[in-house]
Amino acid sequence: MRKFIVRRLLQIVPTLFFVLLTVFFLMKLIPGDPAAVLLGPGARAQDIERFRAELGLDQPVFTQFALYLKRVFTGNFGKSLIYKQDVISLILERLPTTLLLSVSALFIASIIGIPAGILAATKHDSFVDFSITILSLVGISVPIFWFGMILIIVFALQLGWLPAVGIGSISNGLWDVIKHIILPSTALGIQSMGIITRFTRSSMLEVLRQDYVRTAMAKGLKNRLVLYNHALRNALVPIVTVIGLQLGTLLAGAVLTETVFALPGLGKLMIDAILRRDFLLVQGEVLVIAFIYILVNFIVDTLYAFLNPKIRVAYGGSQ
Amino acid sequence: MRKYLVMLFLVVLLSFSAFATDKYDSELVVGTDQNPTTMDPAMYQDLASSQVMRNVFETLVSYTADVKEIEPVIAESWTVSDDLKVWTFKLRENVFFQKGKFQDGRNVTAEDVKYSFDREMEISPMVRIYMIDTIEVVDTYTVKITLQYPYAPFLTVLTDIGAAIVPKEEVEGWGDEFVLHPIGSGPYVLKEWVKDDHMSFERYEDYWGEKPYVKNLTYKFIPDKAVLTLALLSGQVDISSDILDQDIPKVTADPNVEAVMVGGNNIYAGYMNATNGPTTDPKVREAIFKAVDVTQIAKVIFPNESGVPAYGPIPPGSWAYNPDVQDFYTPYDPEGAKQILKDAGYADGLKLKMYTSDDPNRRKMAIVMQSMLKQVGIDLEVISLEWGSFVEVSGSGEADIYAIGWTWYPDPEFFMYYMFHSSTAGTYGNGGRYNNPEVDKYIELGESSADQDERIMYYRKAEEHVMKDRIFFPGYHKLVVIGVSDKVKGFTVSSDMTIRVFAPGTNVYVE
Repeated sequence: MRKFIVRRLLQIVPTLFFVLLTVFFLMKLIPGDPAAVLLGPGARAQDIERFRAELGLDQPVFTQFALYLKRVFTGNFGKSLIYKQDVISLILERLPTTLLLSVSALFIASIIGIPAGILAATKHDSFVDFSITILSLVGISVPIFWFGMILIIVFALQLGWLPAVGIGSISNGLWDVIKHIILPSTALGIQSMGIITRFTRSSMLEVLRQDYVRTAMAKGLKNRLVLYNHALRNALVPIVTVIGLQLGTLLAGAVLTETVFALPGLGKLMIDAILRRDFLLVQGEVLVIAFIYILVNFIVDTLYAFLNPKIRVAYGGSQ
Repeated sequence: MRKYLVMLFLVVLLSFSAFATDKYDSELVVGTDQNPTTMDPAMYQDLASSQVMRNVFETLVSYTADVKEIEPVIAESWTVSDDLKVWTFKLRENVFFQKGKFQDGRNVTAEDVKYSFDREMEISPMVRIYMIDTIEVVDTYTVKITLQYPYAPFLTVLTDIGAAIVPKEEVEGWGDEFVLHPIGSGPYVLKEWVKDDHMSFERYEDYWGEKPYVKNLTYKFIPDKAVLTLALLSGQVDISSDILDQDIPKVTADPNVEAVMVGGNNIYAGYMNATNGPTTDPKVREAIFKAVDVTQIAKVIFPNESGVPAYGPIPPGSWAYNPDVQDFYTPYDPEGAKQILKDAGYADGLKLKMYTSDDPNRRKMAIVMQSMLKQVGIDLEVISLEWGSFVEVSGSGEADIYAIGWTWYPDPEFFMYYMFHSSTAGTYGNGGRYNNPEVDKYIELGESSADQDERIMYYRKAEEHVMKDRIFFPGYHKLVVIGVSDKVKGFTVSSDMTIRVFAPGTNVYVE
């Protein structure tokens, strides 16, 4: 087990290196000189030249990369060009918002998606099943920004129940944060909700067809007992996998959600950074997001290995 | 009966006096789609930052809220030499910095002006006061600024927040952190800044000047303009920047809010290539002018009339706007266009490339031009790019036509010099690489003349030449459309799109 963990941990370093390499050169490939974009339309040529030199953009690309790499290894991600502040502190400021948004979206998606899937599976081929299947398909297909706008119009504008935009402040109490996060996390979670519903339904249907379920039924156990104690437990394993995988999708969807609901998160920061060619900020942010993603994957993998001896054996680990 | 009247009178009196004190407790929430990035005047590059900085920092002189007059702020009066090179400012003796960690609210002096301007020239990535040669402290409250060359719009440059006066002790004491602890001589102090979300300001009670009514001033940053309008309608913000044309009916339908429109200082146009490709042929350019009906562009983009067709580069919001500008305009004449193309040897048609940013209005302009040019046999390919790539292409001289958008101060210099003077060829402003010595001459005369009427004449002459060369196809001027709640009183919409809560002659309050 320890060998497995060490091996997986060692893989993180080259992965991050390649992420860094890719994003660094991608930023060089995008047309649009950072100095010119940052200084804006009215800038004079000499100001742009001077700014380029200040940023080190007049040096060869490989020298720039070597210098950047060296700095990153000493924990210095540089200063953002638009905010003139440390990249890492800008990222850490916004990380909680994006995590809160993604986790609550996942929570809403699961808390509605799983029961809906179970219901559809137990009422297989009925009107209820049909409606749930259609609704989940709608959920998957609906564009986040459109759905977000509809939520704002209905719940903030027409009914006036919830605020339209912003994140609220914990200093105004927990409720302030919750009421601000309900609409965005619903908008963001709707796709995952659809996916989780459909997955739960098919996974449950498969398990319900298994012999041991039939045996349990034949034994005369109560329906409810068979459903939750026998069927659901086994069906849940692949569902949990899907939920884990959704986190990546949610981090990507956060970009749109944060723009519509004006939330100060990583997605919004990333868009601004790319549009304004703030390459140090983009690089730093991609690295942090990649790290989070790899970390989540690592944790999930480790849990599997822990739960499922077959994976452990495949990696040649002993007890 | 009399008793009741007296009571009624007292009640009315009381409610009025209660109201009078309430004015000074105003709380105002401004919503903007742009996000400020810095609170250091020397570091800023965007409108959003300059707008919020105006609360904390002050300049020697400032525009009134309608952006028509320049009024003294830190400066009390000024004189200028006949050759427009030496500007001497007398400062007010009662201007104080806000109390901070490193000074206790001392007087603003000539030394501070010198320090601030030197700092701007040394560290700003975009020096706005680049025409300054030397700054001399004459006495505690007098400062003499010598320019490298005569420059008539110098006062306009000094209204820019990049020329704000900052206290040395705070700047050096905080170092890199000054941006988070901004201290100036303005009426507000920064209370909280949650980046990408909101910024809140509190009235500085020891402010040297008139007391602002608004006590707590908050800016909410909402990047999506449609959502920003929804925030205005739902009462989450009191003033909202830049309402989209399509949202105007929603705002006018609501009795509690108003969409206020004023002529903007902007021009959106198709800039043609003067050094490369088919548009170097004056016949082709003439045909383009004759083929496109500019009134249709404005109709398509602004069904709710928040934009007007343009006939020249100087916008209606500028004091140099020429009401007779249409006199030099080449009118719509598609048959004539066809004939010109035929005579010029393009009977088999002509292919052109037009680049535009991803701004929806500019794209629509390009598409209207495309469909009209098709009628006369010109095949216009429209290429839409995101901002950074677009800026690069525009300056590179690759595009046959690019959709330029330009917005600045009402002084015509900021339009004519930056877009048509030959020294700016190859920048975004003059990406067509236009070079006409006559135009250069008139712009330079306009820069170095002290008399406003004379300046108007010179810039109009330059404009006339530009329009006769048909290098710049004016598309539209956008109106500035600001959404305002009816609770907000005393607010004036500024043609430069800055939302001014407190400015010379303006003191907004909330009922």
